[in-house]
Amino acid sequence: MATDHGRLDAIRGGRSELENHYIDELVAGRISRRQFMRKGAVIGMSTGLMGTILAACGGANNSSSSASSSGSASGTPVKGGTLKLASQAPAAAVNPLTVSDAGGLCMLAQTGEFLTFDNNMALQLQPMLATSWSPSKNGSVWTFKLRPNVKFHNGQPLTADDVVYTFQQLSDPKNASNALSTFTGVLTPSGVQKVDSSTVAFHLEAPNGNFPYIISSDNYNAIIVPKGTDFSKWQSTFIGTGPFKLQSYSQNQSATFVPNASYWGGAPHLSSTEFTFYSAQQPQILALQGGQVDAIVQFVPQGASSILNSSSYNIIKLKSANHRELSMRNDKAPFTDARVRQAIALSLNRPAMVQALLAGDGEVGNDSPFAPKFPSTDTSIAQRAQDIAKAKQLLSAAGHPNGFSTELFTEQYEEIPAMATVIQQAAKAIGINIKLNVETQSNYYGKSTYGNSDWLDGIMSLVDYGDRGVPNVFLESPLTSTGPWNAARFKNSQYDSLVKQYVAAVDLQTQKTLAGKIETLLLNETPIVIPYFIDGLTATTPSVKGVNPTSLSAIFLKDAYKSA
Amino acid sequence: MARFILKRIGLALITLWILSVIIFFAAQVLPGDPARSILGPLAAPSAVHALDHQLGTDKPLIQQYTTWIGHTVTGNFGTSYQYQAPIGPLLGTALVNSLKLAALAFILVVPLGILGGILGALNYGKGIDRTISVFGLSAATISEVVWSTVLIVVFGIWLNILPIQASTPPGAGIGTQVYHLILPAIPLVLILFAYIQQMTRAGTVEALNSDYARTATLKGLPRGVMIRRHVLRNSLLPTITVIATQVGYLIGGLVIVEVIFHYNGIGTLLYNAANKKDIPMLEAGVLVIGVIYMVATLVADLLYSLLNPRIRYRGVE
Amino acid sequence: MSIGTVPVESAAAIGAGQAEVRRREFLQDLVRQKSFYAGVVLLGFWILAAIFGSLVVKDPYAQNLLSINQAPSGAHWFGTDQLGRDMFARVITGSRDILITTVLATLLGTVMGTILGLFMGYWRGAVDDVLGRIVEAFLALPLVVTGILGVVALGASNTTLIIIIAIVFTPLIARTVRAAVLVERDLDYVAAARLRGESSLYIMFAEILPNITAPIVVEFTVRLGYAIFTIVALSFLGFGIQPPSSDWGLDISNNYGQLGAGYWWEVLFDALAIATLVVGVNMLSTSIESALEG
Repeated sequence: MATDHGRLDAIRGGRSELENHYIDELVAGRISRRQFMRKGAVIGMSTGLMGTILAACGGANNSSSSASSSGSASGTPVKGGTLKLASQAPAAAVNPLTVSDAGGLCMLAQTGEFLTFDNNMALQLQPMLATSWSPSKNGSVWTFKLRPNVKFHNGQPLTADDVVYTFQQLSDPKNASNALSTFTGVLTPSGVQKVDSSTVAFHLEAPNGNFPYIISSDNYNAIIVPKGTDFSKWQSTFIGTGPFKLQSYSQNQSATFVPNASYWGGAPHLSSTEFTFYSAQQPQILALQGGQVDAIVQFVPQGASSILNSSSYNIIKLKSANHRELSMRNDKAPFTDARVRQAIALSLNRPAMVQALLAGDGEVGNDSPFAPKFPSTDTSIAQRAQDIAKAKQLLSAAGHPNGFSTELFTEQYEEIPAMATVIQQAAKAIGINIKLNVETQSNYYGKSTYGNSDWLDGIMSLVDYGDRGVPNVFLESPLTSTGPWNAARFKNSQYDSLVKQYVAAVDLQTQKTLAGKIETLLLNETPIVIPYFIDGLTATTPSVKGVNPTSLSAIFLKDAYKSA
Repeated sequence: MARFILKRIGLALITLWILSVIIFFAAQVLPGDPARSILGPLAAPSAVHALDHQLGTDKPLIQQYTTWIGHTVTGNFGTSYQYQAPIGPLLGTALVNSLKLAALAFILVVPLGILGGILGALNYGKGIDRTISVFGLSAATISEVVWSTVLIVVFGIWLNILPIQASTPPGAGIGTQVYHLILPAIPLVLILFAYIQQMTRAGTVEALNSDYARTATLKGLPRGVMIRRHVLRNSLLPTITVIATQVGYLIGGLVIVEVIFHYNGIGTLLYNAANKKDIPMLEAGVLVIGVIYMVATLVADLLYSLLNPRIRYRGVE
Repeated sequence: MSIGTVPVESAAAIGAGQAEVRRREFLQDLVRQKSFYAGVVLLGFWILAAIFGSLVVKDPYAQNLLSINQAPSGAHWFGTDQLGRDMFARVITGSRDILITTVLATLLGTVMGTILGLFMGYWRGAVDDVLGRIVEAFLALPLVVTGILGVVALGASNTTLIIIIAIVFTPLIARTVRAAVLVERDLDYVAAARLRGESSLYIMFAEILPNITAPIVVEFTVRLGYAIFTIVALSFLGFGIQPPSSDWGLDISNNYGQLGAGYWWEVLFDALAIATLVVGVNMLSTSIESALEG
């Protein structure tokens, strides 16, 4: 289909330099239609506008149709009914400042809303409480326009003051804010500024091309609360702006939500939602099979084959950047030699690991945090595959023809203990004897500071990293010279500067070029091994429609309903 | 007698105080800060400091301990670090759950144990007595882990007749709750069986050899009547004694069964509290179990001394 | 966790001079019991399996990621686990760690408990009161709490496991020993030793200890079963033996999540192995106990 240049030119007239840049990229075929939708959304182009542009470039706009779907959105929504969900129990108080666990963040997302929504089902950033946003030319100031006529559950209208309060609290180093790990070096309280009653500007510490992701639902603490909220008491009210409001919450047991009649997006279909909390996965699966719940918010493949292999349930699979990272102390023999680290990486049979450890629900990794799901990932870099002969040769060249003995520290979490023994066996095949130390999570993480943590200090260490919308945190904290989670003690000035450029880059092509360089550098140096990325899995009974889970284990139920 | 009880209570209070000190200071070796376990491993250090300050966990240890003991003696357990909610109701729910499970186990095990004990005594030294004893002792020492998994495989998977998770949906009726608690209760029954069986056996043997029993037999009193009238009455009290000594285990030691059958009892609560370094919660849980243990032991000793007047005033320990 | 109230009276009956006679009678009583032989056979099997098992069966650590969760078959008698390891090989070799830790833990607990019990029983008074309170406090401490604290302080390893179990056992054994000592300390031979001017330590360890070996031996054998019980529990909670050991408790802990999927063979054979080992140990201990009782 032909490109309608006349129509495109008409659109270009009113667009910013960056927006026009993306249109150029699209026309030239350097980015795909899907990538265009995703990148356009980041810099604040509306879905309608992007649809028009795509139409002008030929073909129907089919990318946006997936936005609100949840596997099967066909059919007319049914009004009423209670949706019962099994969820991981919140591990601590549901306090928007401090929540750090799957169960807790899922609760925040029930009544709270974010400025932007990283819709994992559509792999696209969407407006939520902000209707539009735009960066300054170098990406150091981002301005968000707030949705009009939004009310909190207590009847108070949403204004810029509430947004400023929320983000000042979240980014204040004096607060017990879990979001600080994301905001450090990005945002400080003074950078959050009210422009007018419906506009907020974020003046960043350094240019950041993906800032709209950083305040999106990916940053699960960043739900907008009314100005002056006492966060430690929030769990008694759950006040937010979302489609549901709190009916009851009882620690370790359950939570019930009812529709918010004055929701800006129209009332939800369901008449209530009911979350039952579980401390483990197996009872959630049994509850689904026994009909006690209609859905499991998130589960892992281990021990779940009874529902994975059954056609009686809908399984929603989300591509995710959730991964495991094997670090080797780059400052300690024998891992000071990159060849030794490469040998370890070459000993792994990644496709077999994905099959055995993840029941196939994942993708092989290439020893860099650039997951296949990120648009900026350079997928042309060759995938590392198992090569025992080469691994042995590298070990010999590094002066270890007979291998050596070392230790691996890791945590009891999901499939990780099994994965550790797989790594141990693989290393044995090239003559390396690894002693495993599988510890409880609190033992393993310790104080999470250098010198006080098996995670950060172990000679080899295997840790989990949850999903993120952009790879920034994965690239910075565990790998840059000053990163706080650099378990590999990787210090490489070339890498540091590449990452700095990548984070600042606003346009996709630049990001992609830099990503390719970073991927190549990490393959050569191999400070860490990332064998795979793990899909997010949600299960429902077939009658459940319109649920919208995220790979962070939140679930959005505005459009959900139960068909008859 | 009153002096004896008072002395016992005094000693129990001292023991509880030692227990609280052991837990409080031993818990300090737990890794990480309470704030760190709430905020997660990836939280910024400044956030951890801020939360530690809010929780008061950055104060000197002695000060933390005195604050804690201060409100605990007034019956206020304080606030859980992890849940930021009063400990009382959280602990109460878990305790009630554990008691439900323990109660069901007792209802099942007491008649079985007494029956086994009498059977053993009547066949003293014979094969059947030996078999019951070895079975009982083995049942008691084969881990709950083993019993639980075997029960799940047989009744939950092969026969598929009993639910393999103990927790029921909120608002479930008593029937449903009991139904879900049957499998988890069986390992406890198997573990407790030997204690009750052995005590009943010993009591019955003693009673059978007593002058009364000999006279009764000589008088031609039927054996069944004699056992019912005399032996049972005498062997019931030691049974209660042994039950009392096992209360501590039943309330605090069920973590394995609770984990396998996914039940929110006090064992799981302690396990989580220790893992999250939720010291107020850990302290409260351990002390409540300690109190139950002390009271149960005291009651057991009192019953025992009532039964056995020879040791009434000597048996301080 | 306290079971098997040991008949301490029997210790008092054993006079110092009769020891040799008693020992011979004990051995005669022992070999007369069927349960003794059954216990020897069961325990012997697992000891042999621990020592020579790895020579006979497949490699218990060898993974085959392409044939995971296989049901029992001719190739894999007990099936394979979630990493495709042969369950038969794992069950056979799985006795090694648990046997070593059981014996060492019980031994350590018995030694510490005996020393503590001797002090408490011999000195009585203030020493007994103070130690008694502490012992009582430890008895009230739930296993899971002791376990977590121990593992955190010492790190998860077999050694930690041994120390934790020894700590759990010490107060229990101390109580038994103390009761036995209380009876002995008033007997004539102790008074005689005191008159000779022997030191307290000498009286405790050289005079009293040899006369209370019977309850200590019984306590030791009974505790062996409980040590297995406790090791399995702690391994299950992830506090003890480390992967990839084919330890039974650890395997059950790693695989019980697979039960929901119907992979029963990944836990059942481990469970049965534990059961047979425990039954064997208990048969031995009851026959030793009843031989000592005469």
